[in-house]
Amino acid sequence: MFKDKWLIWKLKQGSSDALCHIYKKYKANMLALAIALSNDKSFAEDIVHDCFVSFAGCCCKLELKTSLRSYLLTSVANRVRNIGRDRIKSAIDIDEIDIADSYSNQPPKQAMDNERVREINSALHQLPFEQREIIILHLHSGLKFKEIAESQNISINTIQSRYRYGINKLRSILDGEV
Amino acid sequence: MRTAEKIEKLIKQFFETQKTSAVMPIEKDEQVINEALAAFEKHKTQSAISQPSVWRIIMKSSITKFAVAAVIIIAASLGITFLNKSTPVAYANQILEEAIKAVSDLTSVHMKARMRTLPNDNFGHLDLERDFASIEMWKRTEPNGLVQWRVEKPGRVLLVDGTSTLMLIRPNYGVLEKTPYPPGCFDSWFSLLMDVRKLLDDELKNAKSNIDREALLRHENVNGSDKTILEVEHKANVPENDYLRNKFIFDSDHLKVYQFDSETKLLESFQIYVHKDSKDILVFEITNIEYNQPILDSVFKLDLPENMIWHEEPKVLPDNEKYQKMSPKETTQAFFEACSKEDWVEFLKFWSSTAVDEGLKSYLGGLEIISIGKPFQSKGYGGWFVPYEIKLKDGSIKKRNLAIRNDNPAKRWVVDGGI
Repeated sequence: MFKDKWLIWKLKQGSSDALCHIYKKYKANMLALAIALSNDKSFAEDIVHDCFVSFAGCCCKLELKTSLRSYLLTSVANRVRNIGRDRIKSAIDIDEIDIADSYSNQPPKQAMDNERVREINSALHQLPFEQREIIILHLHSGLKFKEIAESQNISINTIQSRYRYGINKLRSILDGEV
Repeated sequence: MRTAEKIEKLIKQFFETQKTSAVMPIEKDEQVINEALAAFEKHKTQSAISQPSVWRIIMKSSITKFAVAAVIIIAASLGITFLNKSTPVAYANQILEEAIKAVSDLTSVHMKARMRTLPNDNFGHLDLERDFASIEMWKRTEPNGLVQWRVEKPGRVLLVDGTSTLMLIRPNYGVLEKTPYPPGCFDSWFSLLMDVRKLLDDELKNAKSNIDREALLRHENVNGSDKTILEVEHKANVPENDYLRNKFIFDSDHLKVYQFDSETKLLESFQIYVHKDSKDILVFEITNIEYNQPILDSVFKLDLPENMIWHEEPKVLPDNEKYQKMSPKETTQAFFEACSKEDWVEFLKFWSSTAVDEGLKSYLGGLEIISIGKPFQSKGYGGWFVPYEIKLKDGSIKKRNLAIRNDNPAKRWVVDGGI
């Protein structure tokens, strides 16, 4: 928190080093979230590009009410939701995606893990977008329900309900496949 | 059927496997940076045209000029990042001397605070999961120079009455030293906050000389008054996976935030945040400070219960060598065997006190040893931790780590905590 407050302060003083530092610090988080939401790496890279350039253009006037991390991640989520919905790959395209590069050279024992990964990815993409988004923001990026609610201007009860319905649906999909 | 918690855990594991493949290609990185910098520069230019610079605004007011000069000379001399403008050094020095003089007339300070800690444990003990315990501190300097101070949390009091130092661990365990110790003794790190004259300067000097600290000094206008804000980032003394990590203040990565009045340099507020798992947890906060208010004499006196038990350094025993040669595991075994047999004479060979409290006897007496594990050490502690599992007379099972150390004149192992 201190580092981020210091970085924002330096940014407002006009330090381009601070801007580069923020990008270096958060680009992996932003990209991981964009990929998780869109299932499209190339599109996710564009989202991160657009979000960060937009941030750079208004950061001097920024008055953060949440953490810098939360601000950048919710920017990614908002942009994916507003622009990318029609570009998000459907569940049927899941098999085309190279899901886990790190497993490609594993011995046959790891092939089970690949299968599990595909099952879970497929299950997630069977959820309605709103439910999947909240599950990803909460479990993938660690954002609190309050932060998610404020970023989307929705009540926290709605967010929590969507999350609960999503988890329950995942449970029934995954238990049905076992 | 899996529970919701298991599904959440499964999904989190899934996300962890995905995160490893999230890498931006180098060309894309360069594109993002270049375009972001261009947008940033464009915005800066537009902002500079429409607003006077902050520096020009500051220099219009004689009051803030005072504050800024005082702060800059500290920052500049200690190499701490702040405004990159120059200021006449002689002028700033004079201002700083005047500010220090304003603090030197303090005769008393009274602070109330709260901390996430066990009420009767070590003053430095931290428990991130626990609710806050209240803390209160007083310090008074008499006209003849006698300094008295007291810090207290619900289960523990530390009192220096000017001639001796007394620590009472309620209800009836005491440590008495016949000389007055300075603030900070017995791990009472927050009593140093009462040393207001030196607080700002000492913290800045420490930040400069210690590579495990980063400091940011700035000033803000809060409700129409100029404040000096000092934020100091501390690195933990122990590694991430150390047993003591986040169990004591100095064994945690934490941020201290001080707010001083820019003119008087008096501390007005203070917080500590521990960094854990991308969260910043407030663990300590001063809730009220009063300066130069009368403090009753009774604050620097302590009524002790009649059945006091006093701390005593281990003495050399006739068969001292037998106990010196014990390993940490053997010591733990022997200690719990003494409890099991209710052999309190043997018990005192591992316990630094004049007697055994009746409450402790009924708690530990007649216990059954289930297991004693492999001893381990922490970078933040000079002794050993020994895992144990015991069954008490009331049937309850306790599984903890016994802390033992032998850095005493008799070089014998004694229990230092973990009961």
